[in-house]
Amino acid sequence: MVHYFANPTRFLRLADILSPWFAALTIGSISIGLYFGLFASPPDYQQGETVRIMYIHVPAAWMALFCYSSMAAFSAMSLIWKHPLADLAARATAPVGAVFTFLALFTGSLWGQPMWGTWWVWDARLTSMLVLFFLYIGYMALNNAFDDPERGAKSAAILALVGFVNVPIIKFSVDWWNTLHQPASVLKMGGPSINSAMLLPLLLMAFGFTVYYFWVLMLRIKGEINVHRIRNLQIRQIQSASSLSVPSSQQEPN
Amino acid sequence: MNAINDYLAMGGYALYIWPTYIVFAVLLLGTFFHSRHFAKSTEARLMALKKVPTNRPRDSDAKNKGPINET
Repeated sequence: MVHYFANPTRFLRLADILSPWFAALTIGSISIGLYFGLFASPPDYQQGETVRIMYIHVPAAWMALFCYSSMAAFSAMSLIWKHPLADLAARATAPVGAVFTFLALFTGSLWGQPMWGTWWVWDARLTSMLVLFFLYIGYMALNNAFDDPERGAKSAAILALVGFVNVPIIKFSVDWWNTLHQPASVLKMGGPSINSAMLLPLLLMAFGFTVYYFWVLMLRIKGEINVHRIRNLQIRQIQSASSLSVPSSQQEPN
Repeated sequence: MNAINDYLAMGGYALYIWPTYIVFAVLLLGTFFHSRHFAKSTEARLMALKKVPTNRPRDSDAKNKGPINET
């Protein structure tokens, strides 16, 4: 299945079929999620209305980790099996993951000021999330730092794999260290510990963010395939131009 | 009118909640439009490159002439 769609032409055909579904699911679930998050859910007994920041913050943080894990998996596939699309998928994921990480950091800051009394604190969870953001930036910079795109892709893939060690550190940072950030309340042993009126918008937004990622991923992989094909075409045109100009002058006298 | 103002005030946390939703909307819409533009502009460039009458060696040429510049 993965091998079958590793062919760019087949992938593009599949992407054209799936994209409208991803679009509809994204718009649908985020719209309903926004309705429940902003109107049809009660304020928290401790956080008050600021709990509404969580409906953006928590899914964004989940997506930051999900995108990084996908990027590392695609990078591993590209290094081990040399799948032609795996590397493009990793490249396409990086900016989306960086956006979600930034969103998580920014909204966390907006929540921290009224609730903790500070925009930022150098504790384990916040610092490891900031490191994740820099890993995304580093991945993108390294990918474009070489004249030979294949060398850039390989170096960036190695960075993505090495940086993956940060993902479990982020996940368990709230358990391993004494931090200001509260521990997990949805993905934990014994099931979620939040009220269903708040769990519903949270899960709707999380689902919406996930299909949004797939939707944008289809577009970005398409763009990356185009860039790849443009490069190949240009190389071929230069090669044929230089190889044809010589014989044509040689053969003209005949 | 008061109900709307009360709602927008968000229990005194309007300054923290609305920026969250604005930044969320701007970032997700911006990323989407950027990605769509990336896919479309590269597609257009690829099509333009394909249309250029290239002096690409045709397969028949390559077969007939063999390696060029070898004597």
